Amino acid sequence: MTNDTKGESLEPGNARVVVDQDKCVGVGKCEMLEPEAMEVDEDTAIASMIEGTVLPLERAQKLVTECPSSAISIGDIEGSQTSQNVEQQNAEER
Amino acid sequence: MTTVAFVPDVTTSDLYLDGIPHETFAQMRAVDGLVWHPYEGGGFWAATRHADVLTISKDSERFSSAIGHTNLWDLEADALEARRSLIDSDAPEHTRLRRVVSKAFTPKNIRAWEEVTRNIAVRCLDDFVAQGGGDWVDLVAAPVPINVILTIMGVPLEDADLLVELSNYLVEGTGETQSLAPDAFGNTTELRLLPFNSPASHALFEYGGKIREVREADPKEDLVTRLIFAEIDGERLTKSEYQNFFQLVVFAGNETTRTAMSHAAMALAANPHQWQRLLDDPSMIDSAVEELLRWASPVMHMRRTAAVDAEVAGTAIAKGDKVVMWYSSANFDEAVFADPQILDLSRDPNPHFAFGGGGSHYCLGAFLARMELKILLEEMIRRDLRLSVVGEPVRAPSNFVQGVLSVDVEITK
Repeated sequence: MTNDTKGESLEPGNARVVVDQDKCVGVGKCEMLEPEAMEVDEDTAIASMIEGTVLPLERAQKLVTECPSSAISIGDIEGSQTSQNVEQQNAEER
Repeated sequence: MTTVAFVPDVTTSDLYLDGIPHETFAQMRAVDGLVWHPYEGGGFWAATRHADVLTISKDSERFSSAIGHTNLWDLEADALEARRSLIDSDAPEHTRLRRVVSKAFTPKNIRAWEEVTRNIAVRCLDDFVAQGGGDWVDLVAAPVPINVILTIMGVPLEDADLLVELSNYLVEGTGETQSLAPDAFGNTTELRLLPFNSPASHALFEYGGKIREVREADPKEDLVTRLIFAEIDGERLTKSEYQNFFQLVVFAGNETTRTAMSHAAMALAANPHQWQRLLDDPSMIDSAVEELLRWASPVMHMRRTAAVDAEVAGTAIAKGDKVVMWYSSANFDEAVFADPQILDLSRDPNPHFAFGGGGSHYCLGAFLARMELKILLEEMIRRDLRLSVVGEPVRAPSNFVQGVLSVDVEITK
């Protein structure tokens, strides 16, 4: 699980994941693995991370590898230099 | 580079009457690159290794499901259009179709059907035990999945036998001979325009049409109602999309799970020590389900067509070439599975391709099938049911599904 290229340069911590809306086909495996953090929308059948939740990096990376349609990527890791990703995402949500 | 010293043929349907031709696939896996497999005057690239199937399956941009067909033979453009379903489409069309139904099949929503499934499994197993054994397919493996999927769809359960029969005819359509006359079930459509080239598809279309009329007048909280009324970008499914969808859900929702349940019983009967392990430690059940799925490999292949020039495992693939992913080989790839020919109910990890090799076409019903199989095993454990196979199972002559038509099973306890 440590061979993820994104993970190498970042220290372990809590992470958020990002779902590619075009790739997600609503299989729901993420929701099954992390019911507290992931949900498939009732209407659009697209998965997303529940607002305000984070996951330990290792579990977030498991979502990345387990997603059958390769729709999930690591968005931001706490304490890392990529927090602009999350700011960007929050801006979009607003 | 190992050259191909043999001309493999893994497409003859009769080859599968004794099960998966493991030795031929092992020879193919040992060849560098993909193997060129002659077929009907042309041919296809056979991907038999786990890694190559994964690469192709996940790359739906280069390897299309919408060009040509997802079965071995090509379809003319009008036939492809008439038969187009979730399976034979690419994004964004595929994504649009899939989202109509995907929510109904997420693990969370599948849980709502556990009780229904358990009741059906209990009834079937009780019948099987009361009769002192018998044809496992007829008594258990066929009725459980068809009754579950029909309940989810909202289709009358009294038609279960008819729909199983029609599904069997569809499987026949993947082999060399069909027992149905072209005008069976009142069919007047050219066979090449029907899924599986089978008049049974006409019967399923007609049946689906009748259910549609009923639900249009009286919508319910079921999958058929969803298929009729769901709007994507403000549009409902066309008549043809609905027909193909209805047929796909009936077929895929019963035939493949039936196959998995048939092989599960055969595998457990042939490996009583493995069954004993599960009886002793039922917490192994999740890995047992996965191993039985690997073992069953219900769908043995799917085809893609190269949308662009590509390369896999060092083999150059030209735009327009057929590429066939052999799950029935990848699931026994010694590079990924230690002792692949040994049934090991505690195998973990178990990255089998019983639901396809991943990517956007990952089996819609994967979590439904897992849930059904798990509940069946739980109920078998509860009954301490020990099985043995009498005689030889009768397998479907098909290179596409590893179907079992009947298998006589007795209770050995």
